[in-house]
Amino acid sequence: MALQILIDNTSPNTLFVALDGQLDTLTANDLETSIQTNLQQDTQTLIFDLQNLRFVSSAGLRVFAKARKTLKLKNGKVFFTNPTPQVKKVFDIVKAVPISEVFASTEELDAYLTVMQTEVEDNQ
Amino acid sequence: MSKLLKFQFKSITHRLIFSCVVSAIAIYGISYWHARQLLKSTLDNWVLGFAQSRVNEIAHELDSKLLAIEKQALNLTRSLQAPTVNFNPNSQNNLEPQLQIALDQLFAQPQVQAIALVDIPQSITDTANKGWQYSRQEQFRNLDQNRANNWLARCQSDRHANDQINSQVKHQAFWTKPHSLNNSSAQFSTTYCIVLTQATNPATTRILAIAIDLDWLKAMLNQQPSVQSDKASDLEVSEPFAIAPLAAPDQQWLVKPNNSELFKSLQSSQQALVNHINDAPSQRSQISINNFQNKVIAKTIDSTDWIVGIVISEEKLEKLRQKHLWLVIFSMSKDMVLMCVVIALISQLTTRPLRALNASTEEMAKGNLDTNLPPVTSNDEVGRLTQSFRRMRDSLQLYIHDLQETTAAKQKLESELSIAAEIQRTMLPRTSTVNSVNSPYDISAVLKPARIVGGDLYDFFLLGSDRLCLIIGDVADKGFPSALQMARTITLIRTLSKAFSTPTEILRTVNIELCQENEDCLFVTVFCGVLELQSGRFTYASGGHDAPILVRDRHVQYLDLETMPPLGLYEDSEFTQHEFMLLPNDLILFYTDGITEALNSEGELFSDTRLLEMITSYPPTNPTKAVRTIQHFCQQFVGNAPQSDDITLLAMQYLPSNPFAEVANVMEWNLTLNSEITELEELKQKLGQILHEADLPVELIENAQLIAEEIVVNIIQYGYDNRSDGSIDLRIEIADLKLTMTFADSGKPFNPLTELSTPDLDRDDDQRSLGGFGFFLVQELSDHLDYAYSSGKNILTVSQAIFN
Repeated sequence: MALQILIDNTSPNTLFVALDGQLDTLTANDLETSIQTNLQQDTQTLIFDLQNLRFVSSAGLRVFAKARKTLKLKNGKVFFTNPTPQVKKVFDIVKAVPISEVFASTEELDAYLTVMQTEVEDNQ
Repeated sequence: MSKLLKFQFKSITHRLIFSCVVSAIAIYGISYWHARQLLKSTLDNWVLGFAQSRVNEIAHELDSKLLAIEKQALNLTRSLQAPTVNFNPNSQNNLEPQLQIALDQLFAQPQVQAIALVDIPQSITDTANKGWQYSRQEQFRNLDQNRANNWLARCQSDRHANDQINSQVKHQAFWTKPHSLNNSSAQFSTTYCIVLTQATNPATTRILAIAIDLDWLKAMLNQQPSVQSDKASDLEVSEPFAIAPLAAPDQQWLVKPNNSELFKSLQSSQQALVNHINDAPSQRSQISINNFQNKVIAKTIDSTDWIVGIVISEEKLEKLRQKHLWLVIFSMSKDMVLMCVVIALISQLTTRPLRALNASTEEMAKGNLDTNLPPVTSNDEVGRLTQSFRRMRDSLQLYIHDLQETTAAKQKLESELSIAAEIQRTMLPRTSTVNSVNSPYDISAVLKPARIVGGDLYDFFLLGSDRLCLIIGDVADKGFPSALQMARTITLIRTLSKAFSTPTEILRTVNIELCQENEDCLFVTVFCGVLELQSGRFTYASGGHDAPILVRDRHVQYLDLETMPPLGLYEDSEFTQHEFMLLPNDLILFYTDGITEALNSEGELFSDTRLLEMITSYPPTNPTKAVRTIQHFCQQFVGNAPQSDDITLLAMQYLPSNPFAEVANVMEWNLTLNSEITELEELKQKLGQILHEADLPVELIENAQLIAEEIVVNIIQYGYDNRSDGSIDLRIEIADLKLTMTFADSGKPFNPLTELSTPDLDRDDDQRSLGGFGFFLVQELSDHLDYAYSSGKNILTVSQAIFN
């Protein structure tokens, strides 16, 4: 397997996808299918853990972009954590993903989400 | 146009109702027309007959009335002519009783108004006693000159007028023409004149005149009901009339019809009626005149020459006819409506089972075979059709059941077969695993069974570290038995080649094994060759298999070969060994007869000749190309004809190690891949391996892999339109701190530098199209890009600077 997809959908409105291997033309379809099957009606947050993703090509970028479109329609958000240098480079070149959605570590993302959560609560 | 005229019914019921109703309307139309004719003639005949009989009645009654008066008058005449009678009107008391009786009898008739006896004077100057009259008002009186002349005038005017007639009846009694009592009134009277001649005095003639009024005539004519359409409507169709044709024209109408319009229309027939007076006696009793406006039925009264008749208004008769006709129409319409209702009911009832059957069969047609068919209630066509359908459904269910079982069994067999095919594929070595970068040989192979599993085989493996064994073979026949035999052969070769290392020994031992318990004589042709990688010495032997083809620097030839019998037939077969020295880049092509004996739809063979010609025209530069090209041309030759035999191709190129190691600063590698996305993994793996061995930094290698993937994907998707029969050549060069990759493909001309638009990076990606990223990445990651199209090839060169 050039790409392993690990899904964690234990929390009701957050979907964790951890990628291990290469996300290229051959494996992009598997990821797309897997996201579509695991997205629930009330999924608001999609988090890609890229710690073990060694390689991404434009086909992989298209899957990320489609996922962002899908979530945007539901007023949801997509976040990426721990991109490897190669992946980070590709993200930077193509600007496929806004910087605000990429976090260097899981801790950073958790902190950000907590702030967001409190803001939402304050507004209420 | 004809489609418009052709009215289609969706239901047989509707068609039945429609046709029956239309037919009924047509039949009723004809019946109505007949009834109308019949009604007209019957009604007319009835009315005319009724009128005729009525006229006869009236005439008879009138005649009898007048006859009664005539009889009384004759009585009176007799009394007067008696010689004893000395009549003195002044002394009534002296009247003879006989005369008195006669007078009384006459006056008993109410119509009689006056009686006069007048002497006809002999000359103009004669002014003797003229006679007497006896009337209801004045009783007796002697006549003066004046009155006497009046009486005479009445009786004699007729005589003059009707000389011809009266010449014969000179001395007879006759009725005068009717005349008005006074000119203005419409009252008429007529006088019965009798000329008396006395026997005693023949010279003197006297006239006895009896005046009667005609007022009773009208009452008598109208006393019976005239012809009426019916009691209720009281529509008078006809009225009686009486006319005296001999009177002056303005005095002719004795009785006019009450209805002034009818009278007006009758006046148009007046002349015609008057003319009838001259008819022959035989025709006098039947007069009928038909006009547009009326019909007249009349009869002439003999005694007076009057005509009595009945006039029938054509207009009113028509109304009467219409009225009866409406009755007929109403009655027929009622019948027709009833008829239509009955037709509709019968049609509905008749077609009900058919409709029920139709509903069921439609349900069945949807695939629901368990639908209940309507019960068979009759043995008519519908009943038989239902039974046929039931039988058909039962057979269908049975058939489908059988088919399901068969299909399940077939699927099971097919799945087993495909597993078997998979197992068979795993028995063949993968060419990709062998071709490490600096290996001294390159191999490409393809095996395409005619059925799911086949009897062809190929194999290559190292004997020790520096000898490569190459095997190609073909089991007789096709399909399962040969597939098992193939598995057995390939296993035997693998096993026995560990102990024996020359082609002759390998073939001999395998042959002995295959001959064991081979009653079916399932033989195998096998070519076995061993290449010494260091020296290029190629030893080989063949058990019934064709000689391979050598391609050396655009020169094509068969290797010398003496074929021996195939394996599995004779235990004592010996296999002659041959030897040939290979030079670097020599390419040997092994094949089975699936190639040379491939049949096209005309039944022609691909043949050795074509194979050689083809390889000569397109000399392959590497094994992948060789296999691809031969497969492509063979497929083109065969066209749509089914594959007749298993096809196997094995190409091996001798590449003794590192010719480019001699050139210190230039390193070059060549890779060839098929235009299939699945090749990407292998490509990246090889590329990574090559660059890793060349000690390039990891980041650069990753970039190169990404560049290669994006470019190859573009070539496959745009250049070859996702066709998998193309090939892509990749040359990798490392020189002067530069990594250059050159991609060459025979797809359609496509310059990615100009024909791919740069994506809009400033917008968020859900607002921009998702294309163009790949090549954009290539441009960003490379330092130099170049594109050219020459001799039918797209050539794209990508350079990256090597950094540390």
